[in-house]
This record gives sequence, C-alpha cells and structure tokens, in this order.
Amino acid sequence: MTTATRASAAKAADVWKVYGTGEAQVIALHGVTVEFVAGQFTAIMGPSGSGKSTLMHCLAGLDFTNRGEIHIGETRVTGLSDRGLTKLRRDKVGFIFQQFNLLPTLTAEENILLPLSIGKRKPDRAWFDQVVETVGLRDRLHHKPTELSGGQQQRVACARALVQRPEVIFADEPTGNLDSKSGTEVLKFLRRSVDEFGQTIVMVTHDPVAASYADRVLFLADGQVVDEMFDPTADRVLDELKRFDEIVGSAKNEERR
Amino acid sequence: MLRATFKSLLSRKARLLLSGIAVILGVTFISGALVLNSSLGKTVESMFTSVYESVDVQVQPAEQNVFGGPAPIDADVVDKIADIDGVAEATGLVEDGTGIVRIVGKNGKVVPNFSPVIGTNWPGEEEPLEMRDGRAPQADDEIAVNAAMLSATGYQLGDNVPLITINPEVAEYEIVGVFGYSGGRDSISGEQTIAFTLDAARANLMDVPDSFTTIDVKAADGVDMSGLRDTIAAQLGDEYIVETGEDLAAEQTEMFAELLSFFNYLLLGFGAVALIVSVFLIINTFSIIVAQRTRELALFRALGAGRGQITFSVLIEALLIGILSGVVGLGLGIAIGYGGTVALSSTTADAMTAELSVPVSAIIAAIAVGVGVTMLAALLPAVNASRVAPIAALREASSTARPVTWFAVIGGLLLALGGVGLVLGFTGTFGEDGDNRVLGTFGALAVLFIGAIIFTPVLAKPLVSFIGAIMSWSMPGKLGRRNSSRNPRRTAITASALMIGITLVTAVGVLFSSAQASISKYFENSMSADVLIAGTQTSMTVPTFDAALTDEVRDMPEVEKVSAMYLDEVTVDGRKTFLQATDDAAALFDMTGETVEDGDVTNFGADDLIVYEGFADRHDLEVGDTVAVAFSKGDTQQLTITAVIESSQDNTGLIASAEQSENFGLPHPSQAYVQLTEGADKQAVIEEINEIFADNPEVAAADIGILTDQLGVIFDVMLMVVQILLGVAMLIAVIGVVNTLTLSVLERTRELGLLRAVGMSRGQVTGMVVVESIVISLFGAILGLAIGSGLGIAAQQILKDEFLDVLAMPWGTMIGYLVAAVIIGALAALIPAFRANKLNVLNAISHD
Repeated sequence: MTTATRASAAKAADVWKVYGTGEAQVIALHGVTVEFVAGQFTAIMGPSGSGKSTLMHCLAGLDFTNRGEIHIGETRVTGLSDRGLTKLRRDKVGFIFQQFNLLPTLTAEENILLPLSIGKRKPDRAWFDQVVETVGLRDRLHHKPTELSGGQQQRVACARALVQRPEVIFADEPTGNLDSKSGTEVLKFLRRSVDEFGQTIVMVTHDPVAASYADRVLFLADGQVVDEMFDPTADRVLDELKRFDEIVGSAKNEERR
Repeated sequence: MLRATFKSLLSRKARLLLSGIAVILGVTFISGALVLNSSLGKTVESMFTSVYESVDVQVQPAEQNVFGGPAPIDADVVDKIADIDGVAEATGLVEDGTGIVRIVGKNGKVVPNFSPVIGTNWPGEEEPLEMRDGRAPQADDEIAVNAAMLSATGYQLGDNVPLITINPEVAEYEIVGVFGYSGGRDSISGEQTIAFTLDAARANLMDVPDSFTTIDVKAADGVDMSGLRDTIAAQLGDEYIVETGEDLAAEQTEMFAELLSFFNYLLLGFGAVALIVSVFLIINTFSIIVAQRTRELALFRALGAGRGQITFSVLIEALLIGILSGVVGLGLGIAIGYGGTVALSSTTADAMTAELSVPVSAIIAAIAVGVGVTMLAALLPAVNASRVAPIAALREASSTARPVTWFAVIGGLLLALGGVGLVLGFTGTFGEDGDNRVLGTFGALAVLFIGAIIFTPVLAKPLVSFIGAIMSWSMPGKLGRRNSSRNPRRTAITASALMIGITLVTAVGVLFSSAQASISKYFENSMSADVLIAGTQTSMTVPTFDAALTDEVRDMPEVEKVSAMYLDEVTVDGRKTFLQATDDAAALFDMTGETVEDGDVTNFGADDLIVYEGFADRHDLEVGDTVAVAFSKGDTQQLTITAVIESSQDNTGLIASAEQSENFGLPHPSQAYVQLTEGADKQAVIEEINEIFADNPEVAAADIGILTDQLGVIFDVMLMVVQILLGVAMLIAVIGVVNTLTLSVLERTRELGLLRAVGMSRGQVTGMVVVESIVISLFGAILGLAIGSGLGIAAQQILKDEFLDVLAMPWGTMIGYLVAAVIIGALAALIPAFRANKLNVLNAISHD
C-alpha cells in the first residue's frame, strides 16, 4: 500500500509528551512521528505504559503536547485554543470510548445525533438512515441507553462517531468491555465503515484479534513507534507482540546492568 | 468506623461548608436575636441609670393622658411633701417628654426627631446641669436650651426659635441661655431640652395654672430612699406614683425592652424560616452524600459493618456538622447582636454606649438548634444509607431515581384532608361565623400547605418537563431540562426551599393587596370628601390646628361642607376607649357615606352622642339611651345617643360634638374632611387652604387619596418585612440549588467529559447547567406562587365578611418573584458550571 498517493487524515511530527518534573518525570511520548492515511484502519498496540493512549489523546486534541506538531487533515491541532479544539472535536473528530459513551438521559437516536445538535448542524437524513441500517439499530432508536445491551450501546457510539463524517474516528479500546460476540459485531462494523464509506479510523487496543481487523498495526513501546505491520492477522500480531516483549525485556535488563 | 467518618468529612470540606451554611444562618439569627435583646437591655439599663442618677425620689400623678400632655399636680402638694420627715427639698417641675414642644427648623418644617424633645420649666443651675453660655430665661418669650438642641437644629444663642406647643400656632422664643451637664455632656441621653420660665412652661405644656407635672424630691443625708418613697406614697395616697431614681430607671428600661421585642420576634422569625428551609437543604445534602458514598458504604457492609453502624456513621457526620455550625452561627450571632446594639445605640446620638451581653440561653439555643436540626434532617438519609446492599460495592455506581409512591400517598391524603377541611370551613360546618370558623379553616390551610410540600416530588417530573420544554430549543437546554427531571425527589427537595419562601410571601401579598383594594374601593365608592386636612406627626404628640381655621375654609366659595375632627381618650363603663368629635355630624356622615341605621345626625348638640353598631350591640344601647362619658378633663358627662351608625361588630367607635372640646386632652381639631362644590378646581382649592394653614408648619391639606396612599405605605412596610424574610429563605434556597448542582456535576463527571469530547463548548456546558438550575428554581417558584395564591385566596374568602371584600392578586410582585427565581437560578448555576468547565476531559473519560 502506497502512502504517498493518498491524503493524510492525521499526522504527528516529532511529538513529545512529558508528565511531571524532576525525579517523577515520565516521558510518555518520545519524539513520535507518524501519519494516518485517509480511508485506512489503523490499530495502535503496545504494552501498558507504552504511550498508545497518550498518543491517541494528543492526536485527538484531548491532551497537549510538549513539542512537535499534530495535524488533523488540513488543521494544525497544536496551539489551538479551547474554542478551536472544541470545534475540531465537534466537526473533524469522532470518538468511541471503552465505556460510558452515551448520555443516559438521551435516546439512542438523540445520542447518535448529539455532536450534530451540539454544533447546530442539520443531520443528513439519508446518511443517518444508512448508518443506522449498517449498525442494525433501526428498532432500538427510541430506547434509552439503560435499555440497551453493552454491544448495542457500543454500536450506538460507533454510529454517533460515524454520522458526523469526521476526518478521523478515534476508538479507545472499543471492545474492551464487551463479550466476544458483541465485540466482533462492533469490529465488523468499523471494518465496513472503512471499506464502504472510506472512513479513517485509529483504534487503540491490546487485543490481537481486534487489531487483525485493521489495515495496519503500529507498535509502540516506551513512547516510540518501534514497528508497524500491514494487513495483519491475529497470529502474526501475537507473534510480533511476543517477539517484541523479548526485545523490550532484554533491553530493560541491559539497562539495569 | 468513626475514624473513617472523620476522614470522609475532612476530605470533603466544600460539602461540609455548603451543608453547614444553612444551619449557620438559622443559628445566627436565633442567637443574634437573643444576644441583641440582652445587650440592648443592658445598654439601655445603664443609660437610664445615668439619666436618673441625680433623682432621689420623684412624684407623678397616677393618671396620665394619652392626649393633651402631662396631668397636673396642685402646687400645694409640693409643700406637703416638703414637710415630710427625711425630705431635704421638694421642687415642683413642669415637664413633658412626649414631644408636645415641636421645633420648627430653619427650613420652616418641623425638625424630625429620633430622640425626644423635652419641654420643662427652668429647673435652676443644679447638679448635674451646668450653664455654658448666657443666662436663665426670665421673660415668657425666652428659653434656655441644652447644647444637644443647638447641634440638632443649627440654631444658636440669641436666635429666635419658632416652637409649636400645646397651642397649635407657631410662636417664637429667644434663646437666652445654653446649658450642658457635668462631665461636658451635651445631653444626658440624646434628648433636646427646652427650658421656659415656669409660667410659660405651664401655658405651653399643660395649660393649667398653679400646678406641676412632677415633683422632684431630694432626700436628707442618710435617709434610705426606698423608705422615703414609701413614706411619701403613704402620705399622698394612690392618686400619685412615687418612685426612686432606681425604680424609674428599671421602669423605663422595661418599656424600652417591650418596644424592642418586636425587633426580636422578627429576628426569631427569620431564624425559624431559615431553619425550616435548612432542614430541606440538609436532607438533600446528606442524601447526595450517601448516594455518592454508596460504594464506600457497601464496602463497609461487605466487610461486616452492621446497619446500625452505617446509620451511626452518617449521624455522627451530622452531629459534627451540627456542632460546628452551631458554634460558627453563635459566633456570627454574637457579632450581629453586638453590631445591632452598636447601630441602634448610635441612632440616639452619643447617649448610649453599646455593651455586649451573651446570655447562656443564646449559647444553649445555638448548639441545641444547630445540632438538633441537623441530626433530625440527617435521620432519613442515614436510615437510607443503612439500606445500601453490600453488592452495590461491585456495581457501577448509578444514581437511581427512587419511586415517589409514598410521597404521592401521604401528600395526597393531606391535600384531600385539607381540602375537605376548607370546604367544611366555607360551608359553615365550623360554625356560621366567629373564631371557630376562621381557626378551623386556617388549620385546613396549614394541612394543605404541608400536604403540598410532601406532594412536590410527585409533581416534579411532569411539571419540570413542562417548564423545561420552554428552554429546550437547543441541545444544551434539552440536556439541562432532562437532567433536572432525572431525580424528582432531589429536584423537589431543592425546589421546596424556594417554594416555602415564595408561598409565604405570595399568600401575604394576596392578603395585603386585597386589603388595599378593599380600602380603595371604600374610598372610591363611599367617601365623597375631596380634601383631607391633617398634620404629619413627628412625635408622640398629635398635631392640631385652630378650629377657627376650619371655619375660614368653610367660608370659601368652592367649599361645600367641612367636618373638623377632634380626638380624645375617654372612659366609658370603666374602660378607656377612643372618641372622635365633629363640628358637623351631618356633613361627616354624608362625606364618609356611612349609613345611619337609626336616629338622626342633624341638629347634633353638645350633650348628644353618635355610636357605631358594634358599640350599641355590645352595651345593649339604642337611640335615646344615655351614656356616661368621662373625657380627659372635666366631670363625667351624661350624653344621649341620637344616632346609631351601621358597622361591623368590631367597630365600637363613638362620636361626640365638638362643643365638648374644652374637656378634651387636645382641645383643637387634628383633622378635617372637606367636600368641594361641583366643578371646583381641587388643586387650586388645596393651595388656598394651605395658605390659610401657613402658620401651622405641621399641617397641610391634600387630596383625600393620600389616605389610601398612607395605608398603602403601612402595608408596603409590612410586606417589605415579609420580603426580607423571603430574602433569607431565598438565600438558603440558592445554597441548596448550588449544592444540588455541584454534586450533580460531580456525579456526572463522565457525561460532561463525553460531551466535551464530542465537541460541546464551555459556553454550552454552562448553558446546560444554567438551564437545569433555572428549571429547578422556576419549579419552586411556580409551585410557591400557586400554593401561595391558593392559601391567600382561601384566607381572603374566609375574611370576606370581616373587611376583605375585594380579592386582588399582586400580579406585579408575583411576576417579580418569577423573574427573581430565574435570576437566582442563573446565579446559582455559576459555581457548578465553573466546576463543570474546569473538568479535565481526559480524566473524565479515561477508565480506571
């Protein structure tokens, strides 16, 4: 797959993120440079503390970087005011979180249309219908989240992210709280939205099976991109992770000596 | 367990503060009232002690007139006292402290006074009096004044001062001397003193020759004063009151304290309202605390803590908050009490030096009320806390809206009970009229009120949705509206605080505006007088004018008829009562539009009497009967009833002829009703009349409508007091709304994070919280207005026959309350909205 010919949906250039000062200082991102091509499904993997969530939060404008630049499409995220960031999140970025994606007071439909109504934009009815059809929620639209199963709730969240047609959808462990059947449904839906609608998706996960739905897998360790893999399968990802643990493990051992 | 409670308390200081504030306010008012009372008492006592320091024994007549100044003591009584053993000296004084002497200021108006103006004869330069400048008055148009009078009025030695005395016409007196008191004092207790010659004092203050008002007795050396007092009293008999300086100080202090007790009741009322409202606030706060700590409590339960222990831990928390609030409230109460004492004593020039006195009752009340109210209010949430199941520790915490069935049942029952009571009241089951009916119906109203409070949560959901519908034009508004109906019980309790306050003022407002409307209806329909001539009262003395002036008015071509009105306090059947007199009874009843039920009001002579129906019925009298009336002066007169005027049972008024005026305490008219000829220019006539009264600076003619205005002012003042009460309740209600919203925001951290993540701006978040807050406030306000109107209307209906025949709703103020509720709601949302905006989006959404 050639990256040069297709437009960039999001990119990070030499991004550093440092928490704390002095002894307690933690470098979460160590000069990360990465690009996400439009219409591609990317999974970010890595062990706990590798910085994968931090990277995603910085990319999405939820967290600030110490150095380097972030772009979403044509928009330079770095240096945006709160107002600018709000607009960015509203118009250019979609989110799917691991849990608590929905407002309990709103119906499924209202939740799906939430970003649009916040931004006072008119929903594209045809597109809405298509999305709802795709996630298979037609008959649950007027239910409150408490009346939906976990998988259904997560699909509502997916529909919400998709209906605003963002440049990128960021998904943070979207299947982390689901049983495998519901998880598969959600992943299949994400895959379809890339294939059928050309949606760009960046997903943080530590599940090799989930990662296998992506076009490309980025491996992060100690705040750096250490490897990437195209057209992954679950087995290959698992192997890579194992290999990777060994490398990191031995590197750490050497450091100690 | 106990340690866990302490830790949990300390880790939530803001919560501690919020739930404490309401209790603090209540305790502050109550302890403030008690401290103020005690401090003022002490301050006043020491003031009067210094006033009467130089008095050994004083003799005054037992009978005192309300009108017409001091009663006379014959001059020979002074000699009689002087002969008594142990008396060194007896001095007769002519003295008045009720404000008979009124000083006309340099602007031609009577100088308004908060401190009394004392008129007296020149007592001689004796301790503690010290002449500072000039000399004693020697001619009848000369006066000496104390230094306080000069600084209060701006007059100086040598000036001619116009004075109004018992003679209504202004006369000028030259200031020939200025005196002060030992220790460089300008006055003894802030009073202004004007000293005449003895003859002038008699003429100006009592109009009785060869007599005194007071006899000042100096005891011989070594004589026991109370012993001397009893000796003198025994000699003089019960026509005179004999008191020592100490007695007088104590008596005056007590009178003062009685005056102040009104103020005291007011503060206690504020405290009571504050506490009632704070009960709701505390129930709410603790319910939320318990909801927030569900997991923690469940963990305790899972670890083996018993139900009792959980309840106990919540109650301990309440106890601590109660004690703390009680102590802080007491501190503030002492500060307010002392501040109030200082403020009140400063109004009396430098006469009083504020002293602080903290009665034990204030300390006990503060702690008892603080702890009691807090614990009582926390009881329900504490019991609920013990019902938390251990399994809740494992569940995702979610605020569950609990059913409101019980509220519906109990509230509904009380409402029905009250309703039935009300119907019974109207249909006359409690008796046709009289106190039973009023009492029974007001009891029904009270039951309705309590029922309504309990029923509130049931109304919360539908009503809040309805109110919110107005505001859900945008997504934040819609969310705010839904949030406010998420937990009907919490919304209801929060709104109740506001509701109670608004209910009270609305009910009172309906009654007052109905009263005002009833009065103006009377004036419009019945009163045909056009002009009222009356004085503006600046002291305890009623301003009067010469009757000859009303005759002048009567002679004006534009004037149809005039009735000059006199006032006196008379004794009938051993009871004191007020009596009016007129110089033209026919004109009077023609102008007031009152119906003569029996007899005739024309040819009304000196020995005639007109009575109102209430008086006639009470004494079983009719036209032709005679009544023995003892006026302020002169012998008891036998008056013949010539007419009975239709009235309510409560009107026991009497009207005599002006020909009796020489027997009145005030021998001059104090008011006059004037009716103009058809087509006369009212304003021009009023100006002409005022020319006639140019020498009476206190008296003026005005459109009769001024009477309604004056009554309106009285109602307005009362309403203002009630509104201040509302202010207190509102303040606490605001804290309640802030409290509820702050905790709601905390509860919904995740939701807020999500909303921010999907692109909600800070402004929109603020908007959402503001809408929720306004919806809650409006809910409270609308309920309050509805219930208040209901109670007010019901009360008006009951009192329809008494005096409130017109129902008038105070629409303006009611709309004002609604607007106030919206503003309060918006203001209350500010702090919680700020907190909501400060949320870190990342923390809010990241999972732990």
